Order: sequence, then C-alpha cells, then structure tokens
Amino acid sequence: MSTEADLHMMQLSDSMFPTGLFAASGGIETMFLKKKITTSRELREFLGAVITRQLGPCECVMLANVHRCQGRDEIAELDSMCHSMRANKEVREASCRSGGQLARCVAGFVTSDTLDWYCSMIVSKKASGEYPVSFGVCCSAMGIKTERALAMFLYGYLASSVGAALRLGMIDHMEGQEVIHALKPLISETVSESLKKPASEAWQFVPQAEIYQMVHEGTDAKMFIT
Amino acid sequence: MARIPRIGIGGPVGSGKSMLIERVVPLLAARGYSVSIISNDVISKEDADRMRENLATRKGLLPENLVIGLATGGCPHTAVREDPSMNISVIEELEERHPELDLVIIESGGDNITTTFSPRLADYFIYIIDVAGGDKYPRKGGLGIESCDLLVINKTDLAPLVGASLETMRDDAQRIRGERPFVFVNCMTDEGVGAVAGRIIHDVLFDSEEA
Repeated sequence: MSTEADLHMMQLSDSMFPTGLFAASGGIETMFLKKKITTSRELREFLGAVITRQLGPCECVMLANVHRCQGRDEIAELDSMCHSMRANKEVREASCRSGGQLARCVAGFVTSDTLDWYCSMIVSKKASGEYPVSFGVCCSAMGIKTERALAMFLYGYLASSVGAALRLGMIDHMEGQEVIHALKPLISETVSESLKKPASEAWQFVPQAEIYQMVHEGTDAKMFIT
Repeated sequence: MARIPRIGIGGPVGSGKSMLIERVVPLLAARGYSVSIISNDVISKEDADRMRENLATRKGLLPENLVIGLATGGCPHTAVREDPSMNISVIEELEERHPELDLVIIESGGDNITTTFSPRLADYFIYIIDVAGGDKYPRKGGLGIESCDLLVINKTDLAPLVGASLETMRDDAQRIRGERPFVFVNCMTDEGVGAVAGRIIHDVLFDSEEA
C-alpha cells in the first residue's frame, strides 16, 4: 500500500475520528456494574468472545462483502441484512447513528458516487446506515483494501471498548494497552477467517453480551449510550 | 430539511445549567416558541428526567419526548466539541420529525472552564458559572468564559454567604469579555432570567425582545 493509503487508514481508525464510538461500551458498563467483568483478564476474554462469535463471523463478513461488491442493490441488501441481525435496540440505534455520521463525514472530503448514493439512501431511510456497512462503503471509497478495512474495524472496536473499561475504572491505562496487544493475534486470525465468506454464511452467538446490552437499555444511571 | 437554530449551554458541575433551562424555556414558550432539549450527562437520565418532569409533564410546555437524555461516556466536552456526531445525529432526527420546532437547546454535561461547543453543533454558546465557585471566576478566564456568546453568572444570592464580590466579578467579566455580554442571574428567583431569554430571542431567533 502507498503511504497515502496508509494515511487513509490512520485517519479512519484514529480515535478522534467523529463517529461517536467513544460513548459506546457494548454492554461492558452493565457487565462491570453487575460484577461479571472486573479484571483485565476477564475483559480480554469477553472482548475475544465478541470478536470471534459476533464481530468476526457476522459484522466482518458483512463489511467484507460490502467492500467487495460492485452493485448498489447488493449493498442495500447487505445493509438490510445487517440491520435485521441487531437484536438490541440501543446497539442498533447507536450503530446506525455512528454509521450515518461516518458516511457523511467521509463524503465531505472523498469523492465517490457510491458513497454519495449510500448517504442519500440513509437520508431517505432506504438504508439503515449500519456501522459495518457504512465502514465498508467508506473504506472502498478511500481505496483501503478489504483486509485492512477488517483489521481497522476490529481494532476500532477493541480500542473503544478498552477506553470504556478504562473510564469505568475497571482497568488502568497500562492494562488497557496489554489487552489490546494480547488480542492482536486473534484479530489477525479473525480477519483471515472473515475475508472470503459469503454473506449467507454470516452468524453470531453472544447471548450474554446481548442480554447485558438489553439490561443497559433499562438502566437509569449510566455513562455510556450502549 | 430546515436547520433548526441550536443553543449550547455549558458550565461546571452544579453551576445551574439545567435550572437555567428550566427557567428560560417557560419564557420562550410564553412567546410561542417551540423548544426541544437535549441533555448530555455523565449519568444520562438525571437532568433530563427532571426537566421532562418539570417542563413537560407538569407544565405541558413541550411534549415529553422532546426532552432527550444522552449519555456521554464520561467525556462531556468530547460529546459537544471533539466528536459531536451523536448529538448532531439526534438533532437531525428531531429536524426530520419535528420541523415545527423553533429552537434546540443542548446542555453539556458539567465540565471544566475550557468547555466550548463545536460550531457545527451549536449556533450560539452560553457558558454559565456560579458565584459559589468563588469570585476568582471569571478572572481566571478559560475558553468557555472568554469565547461564549453569553456569559451567565448564577446564584448571586450566595455572594455574601461565600464571601464573593459581585463587583469584582462584574469588573473582571467586563475586562475579560470586552464588548461581549454577560448577565447576573439568580435562577431561584428568576432575577436576570428574562435578560437571558431576551438575548436568545434577539440573537438566535432574530426576533424582537419585546413581546
């Protein structure tokens, strides 16, 4: 990849890129408050489970298929499929808001007919703007390769989740970096497994995370939107 | 889709951001303006629930669903400045569903004196401090105090109790802010609240301050 392509990656994966992910914990807040995750080891195991049982086999597969496909109908179908697989309202809304803001932000500085079309589909409510789909469209528009896009997507989840755990006081800043480092091989493996799978083979199974995400929705006092 | 004017209100914890909104909205409603409130908070529902109860449920000044609480992940300034995407997304949904709205008020979570709003999020920025924090404010400055469109100094009644000099605060505010306005208020008695509403009506809604 060229240096410019590397810089595209860095920009999209930077924690200051405005997609609102800083406000999401993906259920970690509730699990911490209910004492289901209290240590960096437990956090690492939880994140590993989400990566291997949800983000990899489902969202990365969707993202890779969006990134590869040429037809707009197929993107619209993947958007619909991804949206229908979100069990939790809070997470579904956060994903669509982040995806919509991501697409709009990138469309502000990248010229791409497909990206412009996808933004118009979101505005007209014909597409949900699910974050993995939007991420795939944006990476494609910026010339970022599929494999790199998947790695960025998973790294973004990992970094924002560790950030949430840090702000909750579950771990300290050193432990956070250790968790990120420890999960790099798993991310690498997950990227390889997700890369070529058709969307029809997408699956997910993270009942504990989804249950706590639902509990979070009904919680009065909370720091995070998910 | 028309862009509804947006006001951002920021200030330290306990300075009276929510209370100011609770006092100003009835004055705006009396002038016929439709308002929605988005309350960013580290603990998301506390302030939003109170404002919904007081302004919507009890007084019927706006529908309950137009008072919205947003959790900010413990980073109040991030949600209104560095990455305001969540707030912008919610406002755009409001603009689509409620084009009749005249104004959206965005309350930041309690923060420090460097708080400011992204100009993409808020058209007008009110920063509120309170006398009980000491009369060193606004002398200490900070981005919020220096750059806001309107500085509000709340809880004037507490000045003698905490040994704060309103004269000192007035002199320092004038020196720090030059021509830009500041207002002394006491939200508990509504003193000065009319002046804040007047500024909003004149500077944001471009209407005459007089009813």
